[in-house]
Amino acid sequence: MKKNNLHNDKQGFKIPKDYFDTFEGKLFDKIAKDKEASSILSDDLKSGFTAPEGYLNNLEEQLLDTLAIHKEDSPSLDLISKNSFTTPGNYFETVEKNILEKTVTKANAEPKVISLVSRKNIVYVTSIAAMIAILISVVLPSDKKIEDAFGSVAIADIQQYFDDGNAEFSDSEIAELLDEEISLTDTFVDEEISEEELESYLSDEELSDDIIYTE
Amino acid sequence: MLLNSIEEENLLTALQTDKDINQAFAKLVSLYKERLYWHIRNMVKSHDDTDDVLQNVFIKVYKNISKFKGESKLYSWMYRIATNESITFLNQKAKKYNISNEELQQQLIQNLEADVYFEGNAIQLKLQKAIAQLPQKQQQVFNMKYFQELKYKEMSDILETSEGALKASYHLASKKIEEFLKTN
Repeated sequence: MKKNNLHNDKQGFKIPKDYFDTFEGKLFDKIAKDKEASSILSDDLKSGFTAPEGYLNNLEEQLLDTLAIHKEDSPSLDLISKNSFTTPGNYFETVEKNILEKTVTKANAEPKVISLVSRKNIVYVTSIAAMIAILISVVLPSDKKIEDAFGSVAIADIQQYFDDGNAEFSDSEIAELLDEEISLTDTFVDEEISEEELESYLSDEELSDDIIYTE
Repeated sequence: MLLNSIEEENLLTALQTDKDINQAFAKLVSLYKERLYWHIRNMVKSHDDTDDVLQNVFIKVYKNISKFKGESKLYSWMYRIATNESITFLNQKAKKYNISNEELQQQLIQNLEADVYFEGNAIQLKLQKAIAQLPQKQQQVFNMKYFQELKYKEMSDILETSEGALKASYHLASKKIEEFLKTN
């Protein structure tokens, strides 16, 4: 079924004779006329206004000058230059070197120091200390236990123990135990030796005359 | 130039690996030295003081990079260190001269007039005076937005403040500054 027949038959709309055949030709004519009109507007019909010679070329410069004057008179944040602080020449090159010398280079030059107070070491030390404490409390008797053990020994038994010669101490050991300074030489200073004893001692000893008279 | 997420992650991995740390740290310094310099400079004003603070910032970054967990962006972490170091420096300076922080701000601005590394004209000096009138937080916000042209999102990461609050703060700071410029 043809399209024209469809419209005619069902909707009742009609088109002029040969409309579709002539449509393209009419459209292109119209476009051509519009082009012609627009070219006339742009080429011939001017507003009549003119600008001073070179105005547009100098506009930017003039505008900046105006802004600078305006800035002095009534300053606005948007117009204030932000670059007022400066740095010494090559500062950013030298600062990088300085920082690296104080960090990376320094760290490489110095041997790494391992702190004794690290968390790992503290854990080790406390665990060892705890083990020792447990060992002492389990293996060694407490003071109270020692006292109880002595308390149960009869004094007679202790005396017997000493009498049997199980605990013989020298004078120096006793002095040490008593924690007193006892001069052992003082013991003999005051002791008088009788002339008889001395003669008897000398007669018993075989002393040659050489020894006596050479003194 | 800020790194994208993948570049930052790679750099962070290298920084936290003993083998690669030196090379990675040199790259980090190279990338951020200028940004951090201007961030600090806007707060402490003098070049020499800025130099001291900047070097301290990078030394702290180097010493603490192993502890950085990556919960925030690397650059925002460094900016925070720089901000804190600058504030600490200013507080110490005020304490040293036995003056208040406000008095110190005025003194810093006065020093600018004789500073060989300040080439600002009368209006730029007036702008610095206007900034010095602001509360410390507003000064930070204004400096970061106006001079460094950071985005509100970046500022929010660094200052750990909502974008809305930052916008309000910047608006208030700008109004106060414009008012100061008109009346002085």
